[in-house]
Amino acid sequence: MGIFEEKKSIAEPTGEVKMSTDIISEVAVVSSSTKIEGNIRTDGHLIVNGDVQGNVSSRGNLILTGNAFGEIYCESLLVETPESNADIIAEQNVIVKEGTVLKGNVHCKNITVLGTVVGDITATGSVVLKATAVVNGNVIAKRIGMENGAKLNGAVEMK
Amino acid sequence: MSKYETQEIQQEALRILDEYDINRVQEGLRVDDPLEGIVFIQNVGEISKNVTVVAKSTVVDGDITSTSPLAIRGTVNGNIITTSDIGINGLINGDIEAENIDFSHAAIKGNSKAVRSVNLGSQSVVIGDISGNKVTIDGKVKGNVLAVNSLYFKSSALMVGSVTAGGISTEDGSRINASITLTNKESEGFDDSEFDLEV
Repeated sequence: MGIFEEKKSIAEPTGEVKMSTDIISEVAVVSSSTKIEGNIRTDGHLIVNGDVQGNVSSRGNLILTGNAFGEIYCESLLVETPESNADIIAEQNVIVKEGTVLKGNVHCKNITVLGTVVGDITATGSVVLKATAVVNGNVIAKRIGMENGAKLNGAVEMK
Repeated sequence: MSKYETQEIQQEALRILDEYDINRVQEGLRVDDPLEGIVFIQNVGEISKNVTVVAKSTVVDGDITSTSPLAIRGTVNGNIITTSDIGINGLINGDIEAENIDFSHAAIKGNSKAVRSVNLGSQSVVIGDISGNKVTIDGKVKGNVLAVNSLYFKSSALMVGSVTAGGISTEDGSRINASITLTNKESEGFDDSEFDLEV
C-alpha cells in the first residue's frame, strides 16, 4: 500500500455494535477558532468546539459545543451549542443541554432533553424530557418520561 | 388506563430521569458507561481547549482554517490554513499555510508555506514545495525549497529539486540533487576585480 493511500478502517456508520472490550482513549478536537469545510471521521472520541460544514462520524462519543451542518454519527452525544442544524444517529445516549436548539432528526437509544429539539426523535430506549425541554416534532420511543413544564408539540408513539 | 398502570409508568419515568440525570454527568460521576466517556473527553477538552487535534485514527476530507494551533496526527485530505503553528505527525494531501510548521513522521503531498520556520524531521517525506524564513530539512523532499533567510540540511536529508535561499549549510551525510540559488547580499554585488591575481 502506498503511503498516500487511504486506510479503509475508519469509522463508518455501519451500525455494528461496539464490543464492550473496546477502550477508546483517543480524542480529536476541533477548537473554537477552527472551521472544517468537509467531513470528519474518527475511531476515537471527538469534541467539536468549532464549525464543521459537513458530516461528522465518531466511533466514540461526541461533544458538540460548536456548529455542525450535516449528519452526525457517534456512540453517545452531548449537545451544548446555542444552535445546531444536524441530523443525528447515536448508538447510545444523547443529551441536549439547556439553552441548546437542535434542529434535525434524532435516532438514538436514549435521549435526555433539557433544551429544544426541532425535529423527530426516534429512540429504541427511553426519551426523557426535563422541565426546560421543548420538542417540536414527533416522538417514537419504548419509554417516555416528562417532567412538569416540559413541552411536546407532536405525536407520540410507544413501541 | 388503570390507576395501577399510570403509577407504574410514573415510577418508570422517575427511574429513567434518575438514571440519566445530567447534573450527575456534569459532576463527573459515573452514570452509565457511554456517558463516562463523555465526562472523560470533557476533561480532555478542557486541557486542549485552544488546540485542534486531528487524532491518529481521524480523517478530515475537506479544508481546515483556524487561528489557533493545530496538531495533525491523522489524515487530512484538503488544505490547512492557520495563523498559528502546526505540528504534523500524519498524512496530508493538500497545501499547508502556518506561522511555523513542524513535520515529524509526516507524509505530505502538497505545498507547505510558513511565515517563519519549517522543520522537516528525519522520518518525514514531502512531495511539493516548501517555503519559509528559516527551513531545516532532515527528511526527504521532492520539490522546490525557498528559504528567505537560512536553509539547513541535516545529516538524513534527501533533496531533489531546486533550492533558493539566503544562506545554505549542510551536514555530512545529507544528499542533495538540486539547483541552488543564493539570494543573500554577500553573494551579490561583486565584480571581476575580486578575482585579480596579485602574486
